[in-house]
Amino acid sequence: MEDKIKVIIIDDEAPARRLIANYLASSKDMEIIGECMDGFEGVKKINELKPDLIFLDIQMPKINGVEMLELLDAESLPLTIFTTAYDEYAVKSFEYNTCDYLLKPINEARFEKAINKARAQLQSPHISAAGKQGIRTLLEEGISDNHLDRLVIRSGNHIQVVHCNDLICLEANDDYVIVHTAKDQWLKKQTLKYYEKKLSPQNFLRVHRSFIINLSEVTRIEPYSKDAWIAIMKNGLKVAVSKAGYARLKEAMNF
Amino acid sequence: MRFPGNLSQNRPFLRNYLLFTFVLTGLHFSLLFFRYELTFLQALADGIISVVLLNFMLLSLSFVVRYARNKTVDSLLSIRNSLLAGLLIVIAWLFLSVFILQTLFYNHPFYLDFLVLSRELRFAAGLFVAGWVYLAFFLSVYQQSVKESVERENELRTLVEKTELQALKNQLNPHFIYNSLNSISSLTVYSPEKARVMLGNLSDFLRIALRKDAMHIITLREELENIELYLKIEKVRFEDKLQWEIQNSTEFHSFQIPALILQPLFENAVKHGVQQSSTQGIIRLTCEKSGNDLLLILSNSYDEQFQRFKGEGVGMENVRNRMRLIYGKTALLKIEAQKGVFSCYLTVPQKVNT
Repeated sequence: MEDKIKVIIIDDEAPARRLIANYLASSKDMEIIGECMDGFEGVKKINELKPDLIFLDIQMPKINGVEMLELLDAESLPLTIFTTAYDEYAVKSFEYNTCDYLLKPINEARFEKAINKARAQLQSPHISAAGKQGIRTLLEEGISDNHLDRLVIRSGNHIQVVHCNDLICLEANDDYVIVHTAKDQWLKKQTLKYYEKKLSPQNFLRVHRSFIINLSEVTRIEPYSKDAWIAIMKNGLKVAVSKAGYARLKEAMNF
Repeated sequence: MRFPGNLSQNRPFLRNYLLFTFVLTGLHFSLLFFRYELTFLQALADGIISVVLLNFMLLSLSFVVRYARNKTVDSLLSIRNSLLAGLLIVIAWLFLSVFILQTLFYNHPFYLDFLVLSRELRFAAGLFVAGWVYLAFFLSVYQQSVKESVERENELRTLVEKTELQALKNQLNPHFIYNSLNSISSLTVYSPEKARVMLGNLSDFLRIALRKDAMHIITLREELENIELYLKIEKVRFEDKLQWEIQNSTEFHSFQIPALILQPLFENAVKHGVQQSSTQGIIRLTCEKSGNDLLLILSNSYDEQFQRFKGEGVGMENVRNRMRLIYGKTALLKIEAQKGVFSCYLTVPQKVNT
């Protein structure tokens, strides 16, 4: 009994959760240890119960499934089977070899295949490691090609959603990015390069090795030294601008 | 305001008009030179001044003709106005041309006598030419406006066809169907009875939604039945989280509305007000009268902490396009996102007396 595979189902729709539970009933080696209705609950339960496998819906209240995965610590990242009616993430998901991607309505035979794959990954540590690495790469690369419209950040037990319009600037800090808003600063484990790619280029610009700024928050730009400038943001924050950054800024803001 | 059949932009017409003036001048000259035996110079000056001046002045008739075709003025009245304008132009022309010619040839007594004697004849000829010119203008403008209205109609038709195709593709969100089928699959295990009811509802709804006619008009009562069907299907997915209230609709039951125009608006409200919300979401529809028209106000609350208004989605755009196509008016759909409440104001024009 000790060796049962611990499963959490995360989906906001009760019938969808019941269907997965029903499909799992015939697999005696699986045990459902929790069900969650949104991403917040998901983060909490996963950190608390450390499941081996999760079934994860993408479209959910508060934060979506992908944002939820971003918030998990690397070591508590479980094997993930996505369950959604949207096929737009399927291709990337397969590309990065995540555990599996089930399209709703879920076909039972296809479901069996997915859990067999999960069993195999869980029995073999190196396949499992590959699967987890797949998820991590997926999260680093971004699951969708759309531009971000919000950032989801966890600090301790608190989860914060920052809308991109509210961003002042992003600052690189080792493995983290410091997210500056008018009122607060948050730490997010992510690279600046990722945000350079994922934020809308109409509003955001990399002006320095360590900074991306929100163009609509700039009040003025002052020379600092030869080949260095400073952008002064609406909240008074001063941001370093490199020579290349200044050239890009000039082009983007037409001055 | 743009006039149909703007003659100044119709180059072939202007070319023909110039040719007509040239030929007429030639005829006039020949008549005076050979038949009335005026000198070459007299005949030429008389020809050019009389004919060119007349045709130039008659050009202003084209404004009258265009104006008459544009305004929905009583047609008899507009013909009378055109004739009156023509008459005035001819009289003015007669005085002006005779005056110029008299001034030019003040020391040719024979020609001056001829000028005075031929006044009545000139007047008659002027009226005759004015009549033909008026007819030509009228036909040209008429032909052009017919051509333009045919073009406009074709344009509208292709737009309708394109939108109908899009309506078929966009209006019914495939994810809605997939998610509903997933719910049914689940219900077959736990509650086969409910599964059967939902399958019935989904089939009925699909039959209505897959109609091809984007211009189909039904009564508000029928539309609310369709919406009820849609909401019942969604209710199975979201259970108690989804609530709705339809207020004040009975007195407007017989009002006209395009079929399923409300569905994308409700779908949007379900997505942002219920699905993306962690608490119970209520969707409210209120019906009002606005002049002769029906005003429908749909509102839902949303959580500002997690969602921001990001502009119109495909569904909203589709509603807007259909309304514009059916009623030929813009701005029938207004949306507003304020303090965590999203509202759509849909004005549905009503035909009077039909």
